[in-house]
Amino acid sequence: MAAKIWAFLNFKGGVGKTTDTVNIAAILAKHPDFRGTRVLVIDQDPQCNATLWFLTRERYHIATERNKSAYHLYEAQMRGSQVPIQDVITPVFRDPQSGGCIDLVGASFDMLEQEEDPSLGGEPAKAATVIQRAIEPVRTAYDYILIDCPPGYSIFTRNALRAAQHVIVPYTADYLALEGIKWIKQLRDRFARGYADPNAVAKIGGVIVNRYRAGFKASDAALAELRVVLDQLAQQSGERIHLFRPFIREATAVTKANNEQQALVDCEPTAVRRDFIRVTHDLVNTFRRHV
Amino acid sequence: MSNGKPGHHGSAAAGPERRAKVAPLADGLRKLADTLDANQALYDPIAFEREATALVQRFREFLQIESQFHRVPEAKFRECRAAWLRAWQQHPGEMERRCEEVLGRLPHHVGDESDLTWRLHVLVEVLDCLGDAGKVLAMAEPTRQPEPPSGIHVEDTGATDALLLWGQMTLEEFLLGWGRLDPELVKRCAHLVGVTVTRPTLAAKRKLHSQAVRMFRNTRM
Repeated sequence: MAAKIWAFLNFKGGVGKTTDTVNIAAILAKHPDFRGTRVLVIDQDPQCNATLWFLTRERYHIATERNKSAYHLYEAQMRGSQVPIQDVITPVFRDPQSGGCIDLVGASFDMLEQEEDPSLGGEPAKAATVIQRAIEPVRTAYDYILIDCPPGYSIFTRNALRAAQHVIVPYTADYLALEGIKWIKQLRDRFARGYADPNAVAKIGGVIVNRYRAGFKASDAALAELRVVLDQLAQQSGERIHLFRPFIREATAVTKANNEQQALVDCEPTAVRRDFIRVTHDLVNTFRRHV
Repeated sequence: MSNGKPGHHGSAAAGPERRAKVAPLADGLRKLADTLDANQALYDPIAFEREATALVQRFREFLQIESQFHRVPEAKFRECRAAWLRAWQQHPGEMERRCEEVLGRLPHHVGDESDLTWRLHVLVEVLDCLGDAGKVLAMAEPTRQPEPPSGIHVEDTGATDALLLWGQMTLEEFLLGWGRLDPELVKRCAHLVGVTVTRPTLAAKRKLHSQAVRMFRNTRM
């Protein structure tokens, strides 16, 4: 069966896009509840946060030296050719018994230069399908493909929108993150108007609430606003936007795991680790029937 | 055993006591399983059979101790354990909710114990609290949660609509209409935006109005 493809996107920075991508990928590949799941992570953010999280700085430099990054997929497009995605994949984790794995198409700081040429020296429409064309041959080799997007509407975001089936929106309970969701919807719809196929551009699948502080009145008020906006968006598009449960609580364990470049599933059990596992269940169940 | 009331722990020491008793046995099981695994890899059928027999024997002892500890027949305990783990794997969120209802709060993880071990400790505490394997089996029964209506995330539409309406009013208009407002609705609205209205003072009304304005402004598309 072909992999399900999710793009983690919010135009607001610091809402947990990379944290969600990395932790959900690791839970899918390593937690016994999802035993044997094969995951490909594609880092589309030139800040390379997901890449550094998975590879650490030393392995990042080695991968870059060996031309193993998304930069080379885009660079080939600029030269009018194509690089097989297998050439830029770095294996991160393998469980030989279950078959579960995490593979990574890392980002590179060099992608910052490519960001300045949205058409990659050719047709803009074709430039937006570099990732989509690259992953097509390996879609059946994975169960999930997770794309970590940059906080903006660059060529990399447009590639993620063309390649993915659903956009997962990480959100923190504040006004700017809510504005980020509205912008995603507007820009996604504007982008989709350029295509005859209604499925050409990823739909907004749902929202993951990060850094939730239970009982904190300002958080609850912001969540009440989020619910209103989600209902309005659903009314406009006629499609349901899921609010994934549970809300992921604010916890130092997340920062600690980030600083140690570990996924929470590899750390000692904590409440926030359990939140992530449950959210992953909700994600998997929500899109189970989606082909 | 407990009085079986939700949220009441029959013996608070049940978890630690069980951990102390069962941990060495579990360690033994793990070592045997590792040896078995190694021998299997070496294609040593005699050693494999010997270790496998020892493993089965040790596992029987383990189950016996577990079931005696909870005063539940072994077969029933095994059935209970299997149903429990299956339910946790399929509906972890729902199982957490059900356990919290029974225990009041979930036990903490200890050290580096795995999710599986932790789930078994929760089973022990629930079994101890309910005092009946049948009730635990019923608890692990899968029930389909009713789907919320499609696209509806707003939990209190009445209060939300009222807030969005007040948010479009000036403070004067809002204050003028205050006398006609349903106090119950005001309470729900205040709760939604995190305002405490104990008495209808001018400060409380102003605060509620400013929060309504904020909600209207922030949710405008």
